[in-house]
Amino acid sequence: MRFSGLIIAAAVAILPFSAGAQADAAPSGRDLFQGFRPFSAGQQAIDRNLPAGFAACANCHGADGAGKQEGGIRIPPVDMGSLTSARGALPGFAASTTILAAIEQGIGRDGRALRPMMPRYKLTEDEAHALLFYLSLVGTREDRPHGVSVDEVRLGALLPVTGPLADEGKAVLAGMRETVDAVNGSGGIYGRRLVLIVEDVASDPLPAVERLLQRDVFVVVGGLWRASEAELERRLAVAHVPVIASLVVRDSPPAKASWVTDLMAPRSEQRKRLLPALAACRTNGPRWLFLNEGEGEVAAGIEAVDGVAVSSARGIKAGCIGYDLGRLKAVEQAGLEGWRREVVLPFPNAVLPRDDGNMWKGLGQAALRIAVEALSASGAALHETSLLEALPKLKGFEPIAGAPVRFSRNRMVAWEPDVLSLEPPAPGNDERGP
Amino acid sequence: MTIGAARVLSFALVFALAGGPASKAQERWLRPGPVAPRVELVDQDNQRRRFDELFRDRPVLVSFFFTGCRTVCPTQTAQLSMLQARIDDLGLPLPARPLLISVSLDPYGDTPQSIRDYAGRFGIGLGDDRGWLMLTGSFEDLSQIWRSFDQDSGDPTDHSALFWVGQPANKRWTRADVTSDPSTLLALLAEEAAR
Repeated sequence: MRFSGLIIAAAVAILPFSAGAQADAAPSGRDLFQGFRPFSAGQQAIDRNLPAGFAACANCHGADGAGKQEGGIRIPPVDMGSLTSARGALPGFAASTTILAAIEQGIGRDGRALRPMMPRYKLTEDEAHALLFYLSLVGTREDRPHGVSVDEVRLGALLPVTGPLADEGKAVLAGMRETVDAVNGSGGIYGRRLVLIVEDVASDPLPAVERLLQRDVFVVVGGLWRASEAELERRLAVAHVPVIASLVVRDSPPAKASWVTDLMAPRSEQRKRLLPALAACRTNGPRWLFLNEGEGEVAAGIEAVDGVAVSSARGIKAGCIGYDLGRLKAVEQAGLEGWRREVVLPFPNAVLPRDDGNMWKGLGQAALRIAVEALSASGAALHETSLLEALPKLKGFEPIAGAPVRFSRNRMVAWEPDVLSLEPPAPGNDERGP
Repeated sequence: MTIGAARVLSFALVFALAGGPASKAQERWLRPGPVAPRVELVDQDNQRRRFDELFRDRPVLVSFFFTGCRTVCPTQTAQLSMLQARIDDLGLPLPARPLLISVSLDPYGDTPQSIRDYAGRFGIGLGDDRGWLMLTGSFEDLSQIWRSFDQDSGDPTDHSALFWVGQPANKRWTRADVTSDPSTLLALLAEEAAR
């Protein structure tokens, strides 16, 4: 903890509010500070043309109120302990009214104007009370988001555990449970045990999400739903519940700064990875890219083909075909004797199970290990975006040996794709390299 | 006197009346200052733009930003939006009208679409007729501009919090803190235009 309990007690003591008023006001103060609720005056609450979405205190001072540094500008901490303590030669704020004067009129500790970077806010009386009270909580272990208590962190799992994908969903869940048990067996994270809450998304995902939200979760981990379920993801974002390492494989990666992160590489990255592998494939026959619908020549000497072309390829001179896991079955059924295969995977080769291991179980373990690592990197004081902010710090972490994650500020996907090069399955082929 | 000439004169008056901050800045003028690299970028409408040809004869303010920035850039953009409104009020004809150029620090994250979305949140009008362009491009091309304007930190969040004000034809530039109020920035632009 960055400041003592004594300082918190002193800071709270200078606030002229009754205990009842504090209890009522605290939640809205948190929402205002974190930007979960706009100020009631909307854009007029700020003294400049700053959109409401950029006006939240947390944007500059951090979700934990600890301050930031950007562009050579040091933005100071605003937790009550820091505000009421001297900073260098400057005295601490002595009363809630002087803190409010800083927020509303830009009057600093020494009576001089704060830098213009700090907006001047127009607050209602209720907003001022709520915000001031929240400054005594921000960044402490008592400043808790939904799904986090003194001794628990509640993780959500949205998986198909019935219906046609039940086997996959149950295997993912088994991997997640195994990992949760292992973490809890070694004492949890910062003294908090993990609780895994499962909702079945097999039939109707949206009611499942609502049920999950009612059960108070901090984060959704892993999860398997159709990439087209935008409403499901929007609902989680509105509730400020991040998704860590979903098992959804999309056409393109999730937008940066969204609430969703994926475990596996999107198809756009898979295609980008597959094309050079196909170009380098040693063959005197055609080079076929079997990913989307047929598109003709997509690169020098590489032709995109569709399922019809693949299923009627018998008799054509054997070449090299590149495809993804979703088209594995179609290629197997087509026979394609003598063809070399370049199979693009949405994860590093190391993720493929050895022996009789279940890939889906491994994916569940990996998603949960990433969440655990992000929880560890976030520290004991958590806020809604802690895990999303922690992911770029995990660069290089291997949830499965040999499969490092590659999150960054702009990359919301854990794994990069890889290509598995397979020799022709039929014996006696007479392919020669060029 | 034509209307245009009268407006240019009023712009010069901005310089004269705001002599305080501008004259302090005089001590900070750099000669020749940054050289605009000959690189091609794209603007918010995905139109190709040769950076060195954008503002030869015009007073210009160059700023740096990225759309994922939550801290300095939004405030900086809000300041520039107020400056744009002040410039609009002057109704200056070209080439006297200053040009605002915002250069991306994040070639991987900033696309013309994300830039338009970002500007839309501020209600900013971009384009030649609005005197404000937001530019992005490849890492290699943007790097040359970052190097020229001392922004080459390798990390967008480490960018320096400075605006560059100058007129390339004059080979004279100065820098202003991004927290500078619009009047100070307008005075610096007017001082450059008056030369």
